[in-house]
Amino acid sequence: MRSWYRRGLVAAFGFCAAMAFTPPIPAHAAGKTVVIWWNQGFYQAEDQAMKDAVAAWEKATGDKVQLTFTNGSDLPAKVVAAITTGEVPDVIYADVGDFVLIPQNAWNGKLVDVSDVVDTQKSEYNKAALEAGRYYNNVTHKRSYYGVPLKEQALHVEVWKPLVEEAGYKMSDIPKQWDQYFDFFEDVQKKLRAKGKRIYGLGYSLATKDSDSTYLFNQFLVAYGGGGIVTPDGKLHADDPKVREAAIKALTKLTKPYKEGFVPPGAINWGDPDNNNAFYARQIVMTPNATISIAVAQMEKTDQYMHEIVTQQLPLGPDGKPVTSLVAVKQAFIPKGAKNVEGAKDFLKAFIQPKNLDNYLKQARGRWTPVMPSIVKDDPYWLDPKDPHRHVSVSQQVGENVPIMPWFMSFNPAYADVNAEQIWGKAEANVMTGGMTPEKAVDIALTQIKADFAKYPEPTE
Amino acid sequence: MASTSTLTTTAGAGGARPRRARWYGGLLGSDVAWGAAFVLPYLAVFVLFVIYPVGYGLWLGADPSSYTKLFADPIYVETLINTVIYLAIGVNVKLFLALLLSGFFMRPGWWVKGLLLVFILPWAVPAIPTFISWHWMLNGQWGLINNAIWNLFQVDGPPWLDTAHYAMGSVIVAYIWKWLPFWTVIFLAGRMAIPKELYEAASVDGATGLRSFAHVTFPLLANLYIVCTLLSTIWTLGDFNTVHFVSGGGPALQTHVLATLGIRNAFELGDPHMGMATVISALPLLIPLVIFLMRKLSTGEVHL
Repeated sequence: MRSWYRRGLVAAFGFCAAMAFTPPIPAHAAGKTVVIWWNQGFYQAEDQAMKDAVAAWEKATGDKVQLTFTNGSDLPAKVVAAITTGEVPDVIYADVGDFVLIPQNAWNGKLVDVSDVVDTQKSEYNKAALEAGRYYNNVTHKRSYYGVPLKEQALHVEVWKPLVEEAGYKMSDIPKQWDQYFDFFEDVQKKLRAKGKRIYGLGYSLATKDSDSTYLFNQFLVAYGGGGIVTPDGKLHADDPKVREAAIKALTKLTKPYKEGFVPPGAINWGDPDNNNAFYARQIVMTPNATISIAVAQMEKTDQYMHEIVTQQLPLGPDGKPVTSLVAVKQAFIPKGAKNVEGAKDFLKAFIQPKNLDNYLKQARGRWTPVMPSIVKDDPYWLDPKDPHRHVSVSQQVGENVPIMPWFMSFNPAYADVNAEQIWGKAEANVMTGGMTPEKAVDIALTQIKADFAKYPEPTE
Repeated sequence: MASTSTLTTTAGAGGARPRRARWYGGLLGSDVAWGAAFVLPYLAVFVLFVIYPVGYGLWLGADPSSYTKLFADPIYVETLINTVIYLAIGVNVKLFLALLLSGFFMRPGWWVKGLLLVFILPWAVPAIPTFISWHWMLNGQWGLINNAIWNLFQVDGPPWLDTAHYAMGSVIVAYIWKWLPFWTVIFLAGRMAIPKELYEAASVDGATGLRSFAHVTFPLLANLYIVCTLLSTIWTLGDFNTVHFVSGGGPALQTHVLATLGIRNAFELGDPHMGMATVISALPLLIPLVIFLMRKLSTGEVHL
């Protein structure tokens, strides 16, 4: 009896040990489940809209979806780890995917070609979205679609109307042209400071982290004529005098007010939420922000949303012409190694149907802008003049003859490295606290950018 | 079974200690199976959660080109210097203060015990929310400290997180504040283990106050102090939370330490190989520390 008991115990231990070494059976082993990792939304309704879209697809196909929402700041690390180890889901959407995940992984041949998904709505997408979803694959040596465009964002300016008025100005006094527009807020600060207010005129993000400062600098670069730093063929034009001059002007325009005390000193260390917080605390009169999230987050405070916070489009460029808006096109993608590629593609094909995409985007309260002009045309929600913010943002990005361009990472993944390494943010810091001239800081930055591009040999199709 | 018969034969022949028996630690028959059954789960856990991750990490960091990239990065050199400063100042100031404070908390009185309870709170509360609180408190524009300075004197306070020196100083202060209570309690326990008779004898010989500390307390706590320094240095080398949540490695990437730079390189730059290379580059410092610590512990010198 005792021997039998001992053997049983030994067998139980052995079984437990064997179980410990046995890999878990994946939920999608049957090939009927699609595993989706999705960036958690800003609002609960946004997540619910995604759940509804999933439920509708499950009902229509009889397949199952294992949907996981992850915080936007944690998701990139999770995706990098998954792609490194090969244990990947079937569909991934991360808000920063177009900045840090898709370009390099498409280049390295680690993503599934989704041309057949994009093709189903190709006639619906705007030009920038179609350009943004195409990446160069250095394994197959050709460009193809590796991202499925879902939504986009561009830089706008949020302004506190009461602070402008307290300084003795009217909103209509704000100049329309680039340099004068931003200089105006320095005057507002002077007037408010004279009244004993501890307020800064300009809420520029000038840090070396997150994406707000990257967005701000590159939009200024484009405004000053440096939009050709990388061309759609993936070539870098760092030696183009026009690009260098634009970079110097952008760097000067952003750093001079900082040194003169018109930007909060802490802006050198701001993460993405920090300009929002400074704005809500009314410590800055204005802040450029890539979405209308600052206003939208105050939607329940009717006075603020409807009357006090004003969303403005980018002013006219220094040359008096409309400035081309850099639009960041947010994309879903399928990593190689996904167990259910067909299911993933089928889900995405259903999700990007204009009606479905419209329903999903509306739940984000207009924070994101549609990538399909027909959505804006067919649904009055997007250009509703009763909403003081949404139509401003949408009409800057969607419509005929609206000047927009995708980010440079779509042309060459080296620019994703440039952003991740915060090369322009470092250049700003070199000028603001390192005592460097903008010319020297730009030359150092361009040298580093050239080194990054050297890691990605020129695309040859 | 063959081994059992060999053992029996050998033992019967002359009583010499059998080689296999020594290999099994003197266990016989089903005892070996019992031993294996008990060891196997722990071995499995060790392989799964220690050997495999460490091995995988070393494999990720084995690419020489990652080190070429890493050493060419100017931020890396700055990070190395920061790491040394963080360890040298953070660990030593913290332990020295802990040693002094442990003397204070040896004093009799109910209010000292009450104060100890309050003093331990920073260590008892979760690390991440407290470091985030530090970050908010030190914010140059709307943080608690600078807001108070503005309200009182109508001037801007120091740029706690906006210049490299201030930011590194803020990180070190937050680190000391968080971990000082723990090490104070360790030294307090060490002091309490010193027999009172030694102090009485010293007192008879005229050694009181500072002389008593120099000739009785410090010599008896010296080994504990060294072990604590080694342990704290090893732990602090891997400390990610303090820098990440207080300064975020800023401004301008000037306050990174190896632990935070490794995460940045792995996940913000999307290069896990370089991230691991960053962490592995701490091994030349870490391994001697661990060896020294092991030798200290194995010699049994950490006795009071």
